[in-house]
Amino acid sequence: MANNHSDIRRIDEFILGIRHEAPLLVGVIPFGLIFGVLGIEAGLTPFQVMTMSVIIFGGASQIIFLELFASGASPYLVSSTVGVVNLRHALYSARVSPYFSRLTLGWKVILSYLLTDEAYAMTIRRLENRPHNPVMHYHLLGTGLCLWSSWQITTFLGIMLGAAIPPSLGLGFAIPLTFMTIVVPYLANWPHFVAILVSGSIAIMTYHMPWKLNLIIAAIAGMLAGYLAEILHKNNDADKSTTGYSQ
Amino acid sequence: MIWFAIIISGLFTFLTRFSFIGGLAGRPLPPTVRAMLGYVTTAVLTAIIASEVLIINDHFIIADNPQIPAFVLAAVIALIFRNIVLTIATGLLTLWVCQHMIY
Repeated sequence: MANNHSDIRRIDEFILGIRHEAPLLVGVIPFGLIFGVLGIEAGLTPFQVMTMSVIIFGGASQIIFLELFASGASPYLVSSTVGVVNLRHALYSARVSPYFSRLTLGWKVILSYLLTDEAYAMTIRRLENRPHNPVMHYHLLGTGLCLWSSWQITTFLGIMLGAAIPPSLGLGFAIPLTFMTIVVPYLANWPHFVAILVSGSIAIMTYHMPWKLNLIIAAIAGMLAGYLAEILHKNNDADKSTTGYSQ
Repeated sequence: MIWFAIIISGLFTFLTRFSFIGGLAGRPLPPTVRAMLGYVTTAVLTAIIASEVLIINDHFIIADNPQIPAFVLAAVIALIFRNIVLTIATGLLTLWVCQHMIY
């Protein structure tokens, strides 16, 4: 009986995860389609595009991959840049780890693989509201698998779409446009605004450097600038409860 | 070559996500590092945006760059509507119009 009861709780938690994740799919669906289309546009085979979505499973970083690959960057630079942009997931990993410390290694591997921005965003709230629920990992399984299937399906549809679009249309400009939609909401946040200004300017000032090193240099400068702006901002109005960023 | 890049990228990404859950990281992230990581995405994406929009064929181009009006108009649409499809359609269409009619 007790077993049956906890089975039901597991399924409930899993379904709740899917339900919490569903509204976020509005943003994920066009993104996946765009990735599929651009992958074909960049000259990858449908199989390579599809496999990338399974192996990397990280929205913006996969488009960065395409952008660098198409411009002839070395595989080392491509994978380092993807690695750098995904470093923020270490933050998520740190935040959720106390709740999953008793799970088996298999569970830890699966949950880590599914730990994307969108799954984390919904699951961390649930974890913090119900910290002592022993079946809580099923919530992340729900949010994660919901996002995972949407990403794979939309990648696939994007590949089909990309094969139908003539390459002469020049869709490459869609890459900076896609990234802009991610960055735009941060313009209103002062430290992020500083990070954006500094990173953009440095990328241009150092653009002549070999191997697209300007991107890494600009990214590091932008991070430092954002962090400094956050500290100065906090010191300026220490009595107001402002946090520099929200992830 | 490309498979190498895909697999290494996937491995980096997975290991980052696994770092604390799997107990690979011995101690908690220092607050400074944590704060800086909050700016990684914005910084990397902006660097790519800037070099894509403002640099054409290895040259920094401001005048006679049809990508600039297209990008600015798309940014305005993004700010108002927060809609990714509408934003990209606006940008691509404006670029196309600029390239074929004005420049």
